[in-house]
Amino acid sequence: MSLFLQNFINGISLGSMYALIAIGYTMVYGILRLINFAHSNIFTVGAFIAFVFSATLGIHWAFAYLLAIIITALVGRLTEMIAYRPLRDAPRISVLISAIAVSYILENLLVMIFGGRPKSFPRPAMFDFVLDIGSIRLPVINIVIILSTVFFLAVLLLILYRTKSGRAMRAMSMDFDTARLMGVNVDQIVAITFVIGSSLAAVAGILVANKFPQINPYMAATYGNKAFVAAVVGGIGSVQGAAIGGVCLGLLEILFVALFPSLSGYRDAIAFLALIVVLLYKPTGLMGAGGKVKV
Amino acid sequence: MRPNNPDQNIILEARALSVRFGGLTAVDNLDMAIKEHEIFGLIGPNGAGKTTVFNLITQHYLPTNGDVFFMGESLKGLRPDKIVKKGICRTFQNIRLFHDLTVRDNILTGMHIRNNVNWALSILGLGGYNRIEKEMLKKADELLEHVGLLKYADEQATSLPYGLQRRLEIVRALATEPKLLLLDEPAAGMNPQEVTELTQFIRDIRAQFNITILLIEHHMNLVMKLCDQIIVINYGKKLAEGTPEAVKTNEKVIEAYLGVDKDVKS
Amino acid sequence: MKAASKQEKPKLDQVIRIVLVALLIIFTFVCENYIGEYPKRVIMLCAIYVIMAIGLNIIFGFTGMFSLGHYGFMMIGAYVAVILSLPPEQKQAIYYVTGIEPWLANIEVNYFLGIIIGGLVSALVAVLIGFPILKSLNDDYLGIATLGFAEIVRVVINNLITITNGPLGIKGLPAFINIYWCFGFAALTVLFAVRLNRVSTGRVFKSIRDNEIAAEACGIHLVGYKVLSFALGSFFAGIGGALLGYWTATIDPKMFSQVQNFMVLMIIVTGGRGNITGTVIMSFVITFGMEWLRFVEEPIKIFGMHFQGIPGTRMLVFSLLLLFIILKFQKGVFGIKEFTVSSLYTRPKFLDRFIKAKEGKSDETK
Repeated sequence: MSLFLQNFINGISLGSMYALIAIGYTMVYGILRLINFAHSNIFTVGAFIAFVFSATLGIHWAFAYLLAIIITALVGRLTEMIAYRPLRDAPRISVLISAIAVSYILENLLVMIFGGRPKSFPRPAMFDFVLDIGSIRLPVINIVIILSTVFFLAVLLLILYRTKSGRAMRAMSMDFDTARLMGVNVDQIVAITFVIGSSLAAVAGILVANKFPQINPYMAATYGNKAFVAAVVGGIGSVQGAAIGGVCLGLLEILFVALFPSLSGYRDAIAFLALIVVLLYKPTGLMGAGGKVKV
Repeated sequence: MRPNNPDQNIILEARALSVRFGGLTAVDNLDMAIKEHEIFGLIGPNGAGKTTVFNLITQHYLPTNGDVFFMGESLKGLRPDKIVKKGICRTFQNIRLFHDLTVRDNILTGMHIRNNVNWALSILGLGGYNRIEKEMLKKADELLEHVGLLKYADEQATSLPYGLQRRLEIVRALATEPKLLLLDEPAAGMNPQEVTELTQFIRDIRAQFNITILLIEHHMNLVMKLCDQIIVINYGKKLAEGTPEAVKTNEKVIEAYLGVDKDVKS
Repeated sequence: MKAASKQEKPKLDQVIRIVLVALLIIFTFVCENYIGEYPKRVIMLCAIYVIMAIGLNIIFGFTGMFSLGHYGFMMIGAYVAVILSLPPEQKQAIYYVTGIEPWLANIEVNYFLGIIIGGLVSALVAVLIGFPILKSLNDDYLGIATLGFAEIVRVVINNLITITNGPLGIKGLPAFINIYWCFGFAALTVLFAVRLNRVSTGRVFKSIRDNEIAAEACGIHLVGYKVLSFALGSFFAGIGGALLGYWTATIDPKMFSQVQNFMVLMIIVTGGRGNITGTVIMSFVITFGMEWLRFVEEPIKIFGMHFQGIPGTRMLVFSLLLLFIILKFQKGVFGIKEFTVSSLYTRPKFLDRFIKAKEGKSDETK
């Protein structure tokens, strides 16, 4: 029982990180119908900027993390301006390729600046604690992760449902052109979307950095692909879906390894298998809304 | 007058045809019978369900009730490409050409299914394929010349002026050697001159290719001049049916259009 | 010069064609025997990329299917070819951790056959996953699904240790391939693609790319043709993957990854979707470019100053280039213009304007 609980919490913790990244994917896709391949690299950028501020520059972690989030948000904003906006009316494939290009640019910039080797991340002392409740080992960091995710998700939902911009975002994801005709400032809303998504990705990056505590420029691949799967499974375009998808995927992965330890090598394949199954049978995901092509 | 010619067979028949999307019944209990070689008009206000009827015929949507019969055979549940092979071909409200292909290639694509091409043999140049390809080219050019598009054969399809693009789409449909042609608002976006040319064009192809035509249109001029028989639908239901004269004066029809298109001459 | 009269044209075409083929053969011979080891390896790599890029071009360029999983099929081809052709003694030595599956232990096929079978198995797998995936998915979803598939392939190869030797990979492969192998396969691939382009099936592929709903309205069975295109493209991916494996003299689950994916994608985007000429030319350009740019990653000396090479620069330069190209030339550098023999002696269209202007001028002065 306690083992199950242990795994359960690990699963939720892992899932929370997927969820934070997945939200960024789903928001951008919902509005622009673009899979932002570079999003997972934004997540990595967040981790590295936090690293620079707290390790290299020795700034107190609270400020370091805050700065990292802000700067990462700007980076995300910048990529939208340079690589996606000019292609807004171009065929979708062009934007997809552009996103891939941006993804490589970011990844290789990080490799160039920081080298390809993993770096140890200076975790603040208070996150080092491990609680022992009965026979469960509960690293404090896991609790922090789960709580942070819940907090930011709540903030996001507040923004989406209680502010004008949030309403505009939801309108745009339902019907882009009509929203535009209704006077929604498309460029501004898209910018806000990217800022929010990138901020959340940065938070996820910081959390991951704290968890291991290690970072490397290729982290994007590990987390990014799976986070995208989470977004699709949960229902692309739906923030709640991304959150649920992320948590479900995290749980699925951890429980799979716990139940079939000999198959643990296939752990990464689980996510993609889930993806393909969902795409084939319920492409709109657990919470998504479908749409048929009008002929 | 629609000739009540017993020798003229019914080529397409819809019986109690219905389709429901969630709570919305888009087409409701539609009965329709089209005779061979007729030009049959399907009209109705915007959103009446006309294109949906087309989609039901081509099995793009599966009917939730009723059925469609082509030359006596049920079409229900057939794969869309098989329906084309049986002899029904459609055009689209928004012109759907192969934009990066030439005019000729568009036609050749339409001809593909009638030539039993085996991909492997054709690539290897075996099985008499080279001869088949040459014949296809000849036929395509003949078809293009027939409709006055030969000089554009090597141009990119989307570089043609709008009216000719429409014509190309119709000709591509003809290349599939259909028995029944479904035209979805072929006159959309045309000026009166173009509409007149199109009217003659449709009459010509009916005669030259010996086909039946089912036509959705909003240009009443064209409908009244061309059609042997017209069916009017609104909210997915049949409102009226008859010759152009009969339909024009039908009160229910006039009411449905609410300030009918000023093209209609009373 | 006035264009040759209509009767002479086909003959002229034929002659030029024969000359070009002869030149190619001579070039191949020269490459194999008269140039240094390093340039030879680079040229071989170029040819291998031609094969893989044309494979993806058939899938993406001709038929418009955005597959990001091409490298998965490269892996399958490589592993199948190598495992089948590895001599049993070597198998024993290499699979030292767990031993090899008994039914594989004694198979030994000649290299050529091994490579072909690699391609065929890739094509078969493509057919199997193609039907469900291609039936319902498009664009971005297809990209992600194929990417997912390729990653699944990698994980599977990593874990079936008794078949693939897992993460250790298979090293020390015999270095039997040379320019003839690479150019030979590449030439066949190009020939296939050219024929495909001229044939009705190729047209059908392109029609699906341009407007699949219209294609279906012309009676084309979409899924069937999509799967066919996918299988053909994957066949060449398998062949290319096998050759790449032998070129590298080692295969392992990590070797095929985003880099190959990216390079192949870049070749196609710059060369123009569906454009065979562009693919061939850009394969050479980009492969050479990648190799040439290696120097930025090595320590270099400029004017007596030492610059520490920065790894990652190559990819950065190329990704920036890709971004630039996709922003500026959406149809690729070559667009849809293909190379034809007659283009060698036909006056290019843009010169017409100058010549007409000149003739007009001389008329005025009369």
